Amino acid sequence: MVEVKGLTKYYGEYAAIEDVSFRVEPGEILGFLGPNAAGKTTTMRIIAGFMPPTSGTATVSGIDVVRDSVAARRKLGYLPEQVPLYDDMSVREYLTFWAQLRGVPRSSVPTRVEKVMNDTRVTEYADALILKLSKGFRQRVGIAQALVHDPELLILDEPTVGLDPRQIVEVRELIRGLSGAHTVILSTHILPEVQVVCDRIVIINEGRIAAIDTPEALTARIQKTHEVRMEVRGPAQEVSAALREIKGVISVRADEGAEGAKRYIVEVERDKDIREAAAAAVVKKGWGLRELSTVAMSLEDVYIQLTTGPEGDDQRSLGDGGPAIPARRDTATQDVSSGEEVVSE
Amino acid sequence: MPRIAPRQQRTQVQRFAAQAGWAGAALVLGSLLYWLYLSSMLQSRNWIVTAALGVGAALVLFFLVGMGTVIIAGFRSPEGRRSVRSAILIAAVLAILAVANVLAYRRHYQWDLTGNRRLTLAPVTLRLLKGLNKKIEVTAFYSQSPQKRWEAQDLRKVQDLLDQYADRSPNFRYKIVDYLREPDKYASSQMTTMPPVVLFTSDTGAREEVKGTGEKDFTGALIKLTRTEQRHLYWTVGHGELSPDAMDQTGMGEVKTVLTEQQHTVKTVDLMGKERKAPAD
Amino acid sequence: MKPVFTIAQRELRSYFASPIGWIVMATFMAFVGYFFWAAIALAGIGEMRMWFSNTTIILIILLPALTMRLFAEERQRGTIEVLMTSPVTDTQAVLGKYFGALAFYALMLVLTIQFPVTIARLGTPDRGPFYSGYLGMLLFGGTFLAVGLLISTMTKSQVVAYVGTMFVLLFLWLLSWAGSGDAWWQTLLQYISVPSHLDAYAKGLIDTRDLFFYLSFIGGMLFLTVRALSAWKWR
Repeated sequence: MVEVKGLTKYYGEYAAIEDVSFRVEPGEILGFLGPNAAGKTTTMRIIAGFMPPTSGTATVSGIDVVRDSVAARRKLGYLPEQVPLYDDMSVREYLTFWAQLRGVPRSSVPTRVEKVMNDTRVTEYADALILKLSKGFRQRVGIAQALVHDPELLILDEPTVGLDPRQIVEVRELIRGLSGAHTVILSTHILPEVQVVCDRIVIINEGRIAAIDTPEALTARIQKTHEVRMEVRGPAQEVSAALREIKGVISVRADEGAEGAKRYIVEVERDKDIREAAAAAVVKKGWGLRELSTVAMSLEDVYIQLTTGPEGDDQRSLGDGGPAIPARRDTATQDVSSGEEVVSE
Repeated sequence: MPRIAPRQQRTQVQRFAAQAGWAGAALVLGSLLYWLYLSSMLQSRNWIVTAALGVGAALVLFFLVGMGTVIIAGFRSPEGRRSVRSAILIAAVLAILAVANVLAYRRHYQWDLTGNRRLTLAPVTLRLLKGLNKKIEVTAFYSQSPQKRWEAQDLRKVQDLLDQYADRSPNFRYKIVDYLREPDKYASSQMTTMPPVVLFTSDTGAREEVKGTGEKDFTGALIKLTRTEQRHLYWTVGHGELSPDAMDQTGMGEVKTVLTEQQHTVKTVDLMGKERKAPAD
Repeated sequence: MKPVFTIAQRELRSYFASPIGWIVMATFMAFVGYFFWAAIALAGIGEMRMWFSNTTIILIILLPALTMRLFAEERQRGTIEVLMTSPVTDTQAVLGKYFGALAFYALMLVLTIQFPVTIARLGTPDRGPFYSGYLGMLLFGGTFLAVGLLISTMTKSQVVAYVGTMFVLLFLWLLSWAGSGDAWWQTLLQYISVPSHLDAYAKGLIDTRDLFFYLSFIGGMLFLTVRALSAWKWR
């Protein structure tokens, strides 16, 4: 449906994106994940036909977005991040305008507009001036505008930013409902969103692609360890030492806790379940075990890892058999003793 | 850190040249504008302005020399090439429009919507103007002061008409002189008629003073000024014919006067006198 | 061509939805009404010629107010992104906006038809110059609007667009002064100056030269506007 090859865009000497390549299959929802200024918006703008790339190609349904820009644009609907709307029109007028401009046959315009207003739940404000709408409704009108001509491809730049939790859920459901019949590319920096909504994720950082895969596959690739969280009442040094001795434990970190009882984060090799051994060790020494649970490595960790690195490094990719994994850098944590440093390998 | 492609360093000279370019362009533009607008009113070209123009031009030259390599590299880059192509396209379109306008200027039609089509010239006038090869200068002595409202309206008619004349021939030019504001100009032109009046003069020195404001008046004057054949009428004398010089009842003096007015020269010839043959002209 | 019409329609409606359209219309009517009254009551003139030339001066201040938002506001608000990602060519977008503004201006002119009608009632004027005069005014304003549209493409700020347009229009206006005289370059300047071409129309003549000038000037400006738009996209 969408094929992007070697897309590069330079602003003067600054490279906004460099050598970006990926495919989007028809009917799937692709998530674009990355920090600010990573190049998400630039890539989307190029695909949508707003600006041409410095080099590289992008095609929508086989149509080159640079050479046949107008034909390509007919197949897509786009919503920019700031949701720019014409404030001086009513919702219905606004949607009618875009329906007409995008080639919806004259007779079907009113029905299409009604349908899309229903789908985005803005019907009750159909004749209200857009100027007067709240942010949430503006967002919905923006999505409606992108949908009004029933395009094969939808490009949404941060579609849930600024919405309240209930609206966010509604929008996500709306987007999920579109998959299959429509192809969607959406960008976000909200991690749970990609997990919930998207079929595949592209992680982009500093203009280059860091990873492309399904959310599960990504976490699986990164995850070489998992963490076990414990709360133990007992002398900190000895508890740490005891835990460290359990087979499979890579490192132990202690959090601040209540007087005498500290929380410990134990990093464990991926396939070892040390919970029983840890419980036994604590009980044997007579300390109080207050909490014991497994913390799966989240997508957030994947994301952070891929987009930042140990000090000094630019960035990482998954191509080289997996990076070394630093322990979580959490400034609230202290190591138990100066000797316990962050361990890798 | 954003990825930045290697950047060329600009030398001191180049940076200075860039600024010089702006300053120079500003000076050149400023002095040209001044020269264009104000000097036509002041009738003089201030030496300051000329100096500014010179300095500006020099700075621009310095800019070109100093930034030369950068400019050329800029043109070679893909964006540069695209802008050059675009500029050529724009220049071509503008050139075509300009040429089209010139052609349209040569061949133009007018639809006269005025009542009686009063602004359309008669075929006689048109023919006359087309073949006009003498320079005709016309001065309309009319006043534009508010007291003379009727005169102002007449002036508009006169001016419209003269515009139409001037339009048809590059040799026909006119100007309006307000005799109340510039009475000396009226006085110095040795007019025998009181204003408002229109004076037609040709480059051979002939003059016509026209009181009327219509096309027949103006064209009449034009005819008089452009009659090329100065017909010399010879009056035979010596056989007792009536003499053209005598102004009394026996003479044809009045006839001669009328004929002279119409730019004929009247001479006498004595066929029986010394010259036996008819004069050459 | 349908997108052109759709966009033009939207722009026209938008003029009425914002205060600017009304302010321009009201100011225009106030001034030209005064000009007309002054001509009739004070000078007793039974024709529209002087009114035509007085009105052109007012247009220098008013028409930029119509064009300033056409592209500048879109750029400022970001709505241009949605426009440029719709299946609309640059040319269609430019033409649509131009005709929207032209339609509003035409409306302004239509409202002034009461003036020649009044003259016709009070006397028996020569009607021909009325028709040609209005045609000339339409073309004349069309030129100003085209300039304003071009400048509106070049900036994000409506204020800059307004001031810039006004200066350019003033410059074009003054060209007719600088061009008085017989030197060849003066004649050229006269030709380029927009007001000089209105004279024939005000008199009652429809001259193809002036028609041609107006149309090619407007066409040239619109062409440049389309180029400016794509240049901005390709930066």
